[in-house]
Amino acid sequence: MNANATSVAVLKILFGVAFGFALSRIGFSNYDELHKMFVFADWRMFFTFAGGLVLATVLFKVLFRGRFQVSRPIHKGSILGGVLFGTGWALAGGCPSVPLVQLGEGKVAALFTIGGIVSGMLLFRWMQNRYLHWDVGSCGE
Amino acid sequence: MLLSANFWPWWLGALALALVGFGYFFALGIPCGVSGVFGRVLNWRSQAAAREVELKMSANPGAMQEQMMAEALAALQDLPEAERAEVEAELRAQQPDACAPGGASATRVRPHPAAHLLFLLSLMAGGFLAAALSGTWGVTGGMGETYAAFFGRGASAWLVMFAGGICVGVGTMMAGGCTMGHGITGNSNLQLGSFLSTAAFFGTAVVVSFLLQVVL
Repeated sequence: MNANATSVAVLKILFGVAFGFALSRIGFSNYDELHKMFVFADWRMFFTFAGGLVLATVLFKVLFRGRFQVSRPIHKGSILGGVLFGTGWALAGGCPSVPLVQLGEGKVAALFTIGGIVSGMLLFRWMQNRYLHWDVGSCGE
Repeated sequence: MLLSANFWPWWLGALALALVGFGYFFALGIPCGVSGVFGRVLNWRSQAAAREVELKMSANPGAMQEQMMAEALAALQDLPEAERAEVEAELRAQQPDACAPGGASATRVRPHPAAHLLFLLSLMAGGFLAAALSGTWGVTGGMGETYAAFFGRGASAWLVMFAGGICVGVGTMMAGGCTMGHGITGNSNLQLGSFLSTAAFFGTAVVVSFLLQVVL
């Protein structure tokens, strides 16, 4: 492993631990809290997400304007993919990172969610290669 | 406050999300998105192979241009030698930097999929640390009271988690992003595709959650 690959690995670990820690203490890995956000019974996590978004916009667009640009144009899967993901989020209680955090917290049933996510991703890869061939762009890495 | 058993106030969570989303891009030079990391781990072989190619290309910048130049000049073999030399000089003058290290032909080398796997495992470690340090760690097969009220305990709940997981897997790949990739990184870059997907997934989650409350 060269020096660059090592520093990438170290950064990946640091950000992974920090993000997992934050998701857990915010309450995103707690279904009670998540459901309260979705039915607007408690606005704390909604403001967390919205506030994080505003702050990130300031960082990306004001302090470091144009230096870290990503491109996410609208494509065929934008809406349908979002609808499917939203359904899964409300049912399983997790965006892709959450069940991993839950597993770390001792919630072993999250293995079912992880199994579902992996199956779903492989299913979509198969659909893509076989039938769809959509250009859906890419999330980050 | 960081380690108390209470959840963080909104401003602390917002600060953490923004710093992770932006800091990741700042430090690693690649946009943060968890479904993308997941997908790259699942595409391990093709990702590792693509990285090998990129490593070779970056170790020998300009090799591709040189090769194309050589082939183009070989196609001009009918021209007299002097004119060919002129053409070559002309071509090289027009792309002076392309063959220099770090020039136009510099290739970005993607991380090895093992680094992405490390990230996923670190999320787990972060969850463990958060629960252990706040005194809430404990092995459980359940997902809390609300989940049990909707889907019961044991097998029925696990089935819903698996089915929901499939929706998350297909949906995030189809939308090309998740709560992080679209929700934070894409939206904060004011990207239309992210606005649309975020509205779709958040709106749908709200509707499904209200339905769960009414129906179950």
